[in-house]
Amino acid sequence: MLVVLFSLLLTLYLVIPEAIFRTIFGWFVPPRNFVLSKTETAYRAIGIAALPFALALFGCWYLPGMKAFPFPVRDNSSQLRRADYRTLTQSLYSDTEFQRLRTQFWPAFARCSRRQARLIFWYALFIILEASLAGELAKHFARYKANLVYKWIADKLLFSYISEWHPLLTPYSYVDPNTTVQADILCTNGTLYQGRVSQHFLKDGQLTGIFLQEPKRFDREEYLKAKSEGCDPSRSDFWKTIPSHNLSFFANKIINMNLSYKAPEQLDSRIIAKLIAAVLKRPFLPGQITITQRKPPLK
Amino acid sequence: MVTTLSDLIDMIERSTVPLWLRDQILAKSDVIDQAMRNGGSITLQGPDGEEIQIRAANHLASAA
Repeated sequence: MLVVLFSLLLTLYLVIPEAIFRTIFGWFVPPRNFVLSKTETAYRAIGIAALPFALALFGCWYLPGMKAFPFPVRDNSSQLRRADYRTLTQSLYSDTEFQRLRTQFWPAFARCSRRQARLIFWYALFIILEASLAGELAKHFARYKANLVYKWIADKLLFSYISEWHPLLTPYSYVDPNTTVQADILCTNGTLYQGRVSQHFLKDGQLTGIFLQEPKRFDREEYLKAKSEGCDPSRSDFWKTIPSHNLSFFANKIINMNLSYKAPEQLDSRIIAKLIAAVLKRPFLPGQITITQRKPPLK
Repeated sequence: MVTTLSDLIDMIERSTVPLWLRDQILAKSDVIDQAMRNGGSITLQGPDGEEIQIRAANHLASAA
C-alpha cells in the first residue's frame, strides 16, 4: 500500500507538474519533442519542481493567507501534522496496524488529504507562474542573451524545452524581428526551390511542413541545356518566379534545406563585435568597441 | 543532440556576417588588434562599396 501511495505522490509532485510546465511553456515558444529516459525525466522534473515546491511548502507552513486557504484544517499545528502522518504511514504499513489505529486513521486521512490538496494547489500555481516566466524569458532570448546569468539559465533549463527548428526557421536569435530567413529547398523530385520562410509547422517538436513566400524554382533542365550548348550561363538567370503567395512543402518531401539569414539594411554591430572578440581571443566590455556601417551595399 | 541550442544560435548569428567581412576580420586580425590596443580605428571595405568602421572606445573619447 505504501508503494502505491509513493507512486501516487511521485505522479502528483513530479510528473504532473513537469507536464504542466511543458504545456504552459509551449504557449510562448514551440516545445521540443521529448524522448527522455526515466532518469532524465526525473532529473528535469526535480529541477523544475524544486523552487515552486519550496515556496509552496514555506507558504503552507508559515504564511497566514496560504496556511488555511484553500481546504483549511481545524486546529492545525505541527504536532498534529506529525501525528497524522505517523498514523497514516503506520496504518498503511500493515493490516494489523490499520485495525489497531482504525478510529484515528480516517480523521487523520481527511486532514492529510486537505493539507496535501492545499499544498498541491499552491504548488501547481507556482509551477504555472514559473512556466510563464520561463516562457516569457525564452521568447525574448535575443534581447537578454548578453546577460551571463540569463544565458546560464537558458542553457541549463529553457533550451531543453525549445524545438531546434524554432531558432533555425524564425528570427528568434535576432533582436531585430525584421531579419528574414531565406531557404533553398531540394525536394525528392529533384527540384530546387528558393524563398523566404513565412511559416513552419511542428508536430511534437518535429518539422511537418514549411511555407515559402516569393518562391522561385531553379530550371535545372534549361540550365544544363545552356551549359551543354557551350554557353557560360549564369545560375541566377534560371530562377523562375512561381506565382504563389505561400508555397507549401511537406517535410517528408524535402531532401535538404540551405538556410540563410538576411539582416535588415544595417548589419548587427553586436554580432560583428562578438566575431572580432572571438578572432582576437579577447572579450570586449560593452562600449569598448564601436562598429559603424558607414556605407551600405551599393546594390 | 550533437550541439546545444545555445551553440546552434551562435552559429546562426555568425552566418549573418557577410563573407567578405568575416574574411577581412580574419585576414586583418593583427591590424584590428593593434588599432584596438592603441585606441584607434580601422575601416573595412566590401566588394560592393560597403564600409564598416571599427573603433576603440578611447578613440571616441579623444575625438570628443
